[in-house]
Amino acid sequence: MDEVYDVIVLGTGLKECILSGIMSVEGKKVLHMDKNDYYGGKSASLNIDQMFEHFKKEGEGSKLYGHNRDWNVDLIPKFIMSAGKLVKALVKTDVTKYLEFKSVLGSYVYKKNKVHKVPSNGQEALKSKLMGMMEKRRFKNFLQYVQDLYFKEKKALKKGYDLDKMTMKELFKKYNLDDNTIDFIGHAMALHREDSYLERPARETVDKINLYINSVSRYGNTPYIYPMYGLGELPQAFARLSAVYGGTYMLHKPIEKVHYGNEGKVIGVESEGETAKCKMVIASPEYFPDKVKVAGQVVRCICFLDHPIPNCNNSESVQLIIPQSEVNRKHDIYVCSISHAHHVSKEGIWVAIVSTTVETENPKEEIKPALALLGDIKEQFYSVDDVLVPTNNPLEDGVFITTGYDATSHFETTMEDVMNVYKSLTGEELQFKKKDKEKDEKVEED
Amino acid sequence: MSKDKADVKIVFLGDTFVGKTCLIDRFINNNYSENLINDTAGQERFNSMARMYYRKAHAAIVCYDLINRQSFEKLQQWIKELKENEANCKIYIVGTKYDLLKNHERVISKEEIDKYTNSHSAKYFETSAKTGFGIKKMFEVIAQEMISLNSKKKKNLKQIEKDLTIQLRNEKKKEKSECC
Repeated sequence: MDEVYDVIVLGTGLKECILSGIMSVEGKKVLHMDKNDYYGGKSASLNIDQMFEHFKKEGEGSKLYGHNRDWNVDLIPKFIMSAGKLVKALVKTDVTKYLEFKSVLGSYVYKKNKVHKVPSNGQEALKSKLMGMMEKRRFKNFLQYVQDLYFKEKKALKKGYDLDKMTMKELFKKYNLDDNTIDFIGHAMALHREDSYLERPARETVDKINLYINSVSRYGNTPYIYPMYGLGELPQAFARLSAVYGGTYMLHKPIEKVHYGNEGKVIGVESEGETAKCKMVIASPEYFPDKVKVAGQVVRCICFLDHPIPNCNNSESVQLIIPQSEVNRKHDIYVCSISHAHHVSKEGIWVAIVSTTVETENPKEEIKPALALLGDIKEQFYSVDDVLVPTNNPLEDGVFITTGYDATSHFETTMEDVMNVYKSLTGEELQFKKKDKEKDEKVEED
Repeated sequence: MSKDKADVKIVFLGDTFVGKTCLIDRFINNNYSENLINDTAGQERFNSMARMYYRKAHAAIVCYDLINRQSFEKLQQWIKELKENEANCKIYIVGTKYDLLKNHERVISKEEIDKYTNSHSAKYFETSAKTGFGIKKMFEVIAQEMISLNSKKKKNLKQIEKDLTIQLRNEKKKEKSECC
């Protein structure tokens, strides 16, 4: 590895792998290392023995729960918005050919002590028990307005709403929606995790509602898709893109030292006595504890069930949102459940992951209302993770650090961070380039 | 994929520099579509092969260098890993660089390699990407077996529905110009 590279990437989380892939496609010489002996870092999917080891559980996972090959459990639960930014990136880079997806079958919300299906269209909304008769009409009118807005912005302007000036609260008021419906739209459709959006310009939320509606229209049922064999497939697929374009991969490499030049700019990375030279470093936050700070905490609990989540139509894959207002919190609690149908667990076990932003000294207590909705739980893997954000100036030291994964239920903020890092790195907006067919799968080896 | 083509995934495995890519290149330059055959893209070089690479492969062509013992040890590791994770994957064992046997000793005797391949019920081939020796025959045998495997794969409707997954495509051409 004693060579000169354009970029050294540390950590093989999804963000780092996407950036590594883009850099290699653009012709940069990339060295990509990870201290773990597996791909994915925090965005890995672990097998059952790795799970027990990671969470320091007693006993041997595979003895209790069967073959490792049947298990791919995500450490960070997220679903993919079918019409979102990650799908665009997958399609435009052609990385999608390494992956297969299935849609997530159910989207539910907890309201007034009951689990309700989130209506995926106007028809369903009219049947839903979430709202009274009159309120349903107002809800439908509002949805119609948002959809029209997307297709014919001018019509909306005629109505005289300036979405960049008026707040979301004001827009809701125009449609006379009650607090219950507002809560539902804001949290179950726009997927806001808390209520500060009400005071911000309406544009942001209208865009989010549109993303939801467009995503639902792609593959039906819910706006989400999820990869077969777990989210850990995503970083592996982008790593493969990078390797096909000449990127060098080294796993299980302890990073011993980062070398800086006279002006404080990074010049190399040392591992196992060898130093690779470089002009810049892209890294996940764990690799630079002195250049990051804790911006918050996320509590997550991975649960094994021997049944689907109750009251969700026996769905093999489900998102369940518990809005903050229902449980006296500031942030929503999310539950993502997937199963053998997506090849993440052995047959007969459902994996349900509960997560939310930590608000108190006792995070375990905070997720209790969600755990109570899951029925009998066979096994729990509990964690509280810091969300790390960079504090350095990458233009000074040449070290571009991604932010840690937040509590959102999808990849929109993940992709925004990738685009931000790319922009600060190159000074340009990220444009995903289509792979050059000639180079497809062919690499110099010998 | 059109009807008369076999829908299979074939992967190459083996130690670095045993000549996997040369083998593929030699073969593809002569004929056949490269889409079905997956190269390692060098990720095996520092033991950094992703499991995704050989996931759901129908066939694995595991290579070793006929004059390099270490590459045979690596081959055994690969086969162990394959058996653990992809029990249904058909394994083909290939000794490469046959042309070098002119001036060098084989590191694994014929008897030893026969015993090993039999114990894994694998077919064995020896090839040279330099001279082209054995390559055509190897791919013909594999192709034949893959075609018969494919025709045996009759599934009932329920199973097909269960296995149905989404392949993401650029759905609206119009969106192409806009960036993410």
